[in-house]
Amino acid sequence: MYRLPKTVRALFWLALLLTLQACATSTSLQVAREQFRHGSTADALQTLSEASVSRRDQLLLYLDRGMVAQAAGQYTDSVVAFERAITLIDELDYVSVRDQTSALITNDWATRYSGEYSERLWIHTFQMINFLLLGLPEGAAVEARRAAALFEEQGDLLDQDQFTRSLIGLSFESAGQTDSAQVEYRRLAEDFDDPVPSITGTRESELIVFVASGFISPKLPGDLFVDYDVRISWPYYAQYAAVRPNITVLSQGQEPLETLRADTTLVSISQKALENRGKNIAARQALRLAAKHNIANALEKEDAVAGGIARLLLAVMEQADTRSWETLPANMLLLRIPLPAGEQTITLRLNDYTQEAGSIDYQRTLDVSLKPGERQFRLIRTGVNIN
Amino acid sequence: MKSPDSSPTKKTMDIMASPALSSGRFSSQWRGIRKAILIAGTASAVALTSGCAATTRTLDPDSEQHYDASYDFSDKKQIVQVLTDSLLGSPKVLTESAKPVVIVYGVDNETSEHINTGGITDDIRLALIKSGEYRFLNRKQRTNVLDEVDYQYAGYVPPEQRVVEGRQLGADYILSGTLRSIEKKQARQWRLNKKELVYYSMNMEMTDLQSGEIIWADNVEIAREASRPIIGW
Repeated sequence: MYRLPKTVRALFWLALLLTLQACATSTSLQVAREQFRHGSTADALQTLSEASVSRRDQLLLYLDRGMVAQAAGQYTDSVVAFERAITLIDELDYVSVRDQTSALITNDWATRYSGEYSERLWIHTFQMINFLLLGLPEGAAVEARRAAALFEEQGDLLDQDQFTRSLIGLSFESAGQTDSAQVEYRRLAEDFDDPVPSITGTRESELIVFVASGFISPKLPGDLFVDYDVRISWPYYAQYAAVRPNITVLSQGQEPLETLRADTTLVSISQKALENRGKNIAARQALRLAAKHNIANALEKEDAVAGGIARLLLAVMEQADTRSWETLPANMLLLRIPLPAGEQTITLRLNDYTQEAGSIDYQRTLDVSLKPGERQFRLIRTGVNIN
Repeated sequence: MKSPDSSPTKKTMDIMASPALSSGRFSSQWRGIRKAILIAGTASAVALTSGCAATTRTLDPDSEQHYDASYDFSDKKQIVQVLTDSLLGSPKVLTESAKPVVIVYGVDNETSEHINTGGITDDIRLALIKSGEYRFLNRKQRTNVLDEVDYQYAGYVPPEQRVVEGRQLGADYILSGTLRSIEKKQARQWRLNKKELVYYSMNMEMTDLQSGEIIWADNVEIAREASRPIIGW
């Protein structure tokens, strides 16, 4: 029986690998994200519920489902999706021989996405918001403890996330765990000069508003061709102008109200988390370049042309893994608004700036009815479905 | 021009015409090899399909089963058993009154897991009711009870069949508690497996409604270590 030459067979497998190694997030996720960005939250939810993604992108599916469901006001569904994401991250906490072997001759897209440390933290952030909006402060306190454990583990990367740290204190406070809340508020006061909220004695009525604005910048691929067949590719976040959203809260009589605020520009935390992985990314790249070089050399010894084609194919396969949780907001803002008991209408005026859209003005009116000492929560996601 | 003697077709024909093949020795060896491959392949397929088949089995709820370090039904059973025995054996509560009336105010979850602590108090309450030494008020059904009484007194139920108002029992004691946990994971370093240590502490207390005194308190501690490999398929 006639057999193809070894070099042709090797080129065939390389070409097949290149075809199968689709260096892009699953199509259905991309479609859902576009729908979400254009404010079609219902369409995005539908797309995500029917989406079939590769095992490599399973985590991203759960993260996007959780985020879009929350924006649509479906907090219970959001809790379920985020809990699946947490379980999957725990299951992926090992070195997969299959993924690493595949990644060694292709690129990091072959591995199952397990989330940056910043993204892992924000799953708990949005879970805290879910549980508080559902009136389940004890659940929020559980997520607060999980988030606190991450801060303990990766404090250097994450400690500038003022929003999440304030939310941890608020979650403990809402669950009646005042000792834990006091500890968090004291730490915040030390790091950010925040005034410590008074949580002892009679509590006044309060409206807490979570404002999520814009969309986080996606990762971009950086490329460097050292030679025609030696390509180095790495993911990075573009430089951004950290602009804090301006927000004014007005009473029924259009008088400005005193508020406490805590905010975070998410991409600044993401950037730090990604840079921290830089050494690991570079080390894997070096191993990959060596492996690819050996494969090409072996083929070249049999057939110079085949070896050359193999070098080109292997260089084309070298692409930065730019997967990330792209439905995250650009900025998160926590507003604590002390209000008298009773019914009232307040107005929020937000001026935000994003690199895509420039300056955005946003106004939202909220009808609030508070009992004495009661605390209520609201979530506003600008640019998408209004809650 | 390529010599006809070196073409692949010629080589094939030479092989087919070889004495070993034509004598039948090659074909019987090949049949033997094919038979071995067939048997091995069939055995592998059977092993794979039987190993991958979904199975279910019934477990004894009283048996201790742990898959990892997190809270599970075996922990709940242990907690309930210890605390129930402690309450039933407590001389302080029994001597205060005959069949004390208790209301459950729940167990606060201060762990890092979403644990339904209602399961713990429900089982303790069930065990104490079955012992015949305690009476319990149904706090969760209070709203429903009020709705039902309002319905009866709204004219839908004849007077002789209505419940008499103002006859509900008053609680003597409040049963409450807290479930806490401490978790530690091994630091990141080069090793073949990763260990996690979890410690649970369940504290429960009975508070006298009249005096505010804690007349009974006990705790259960559970510590478990789990390890899993850091390299897998």
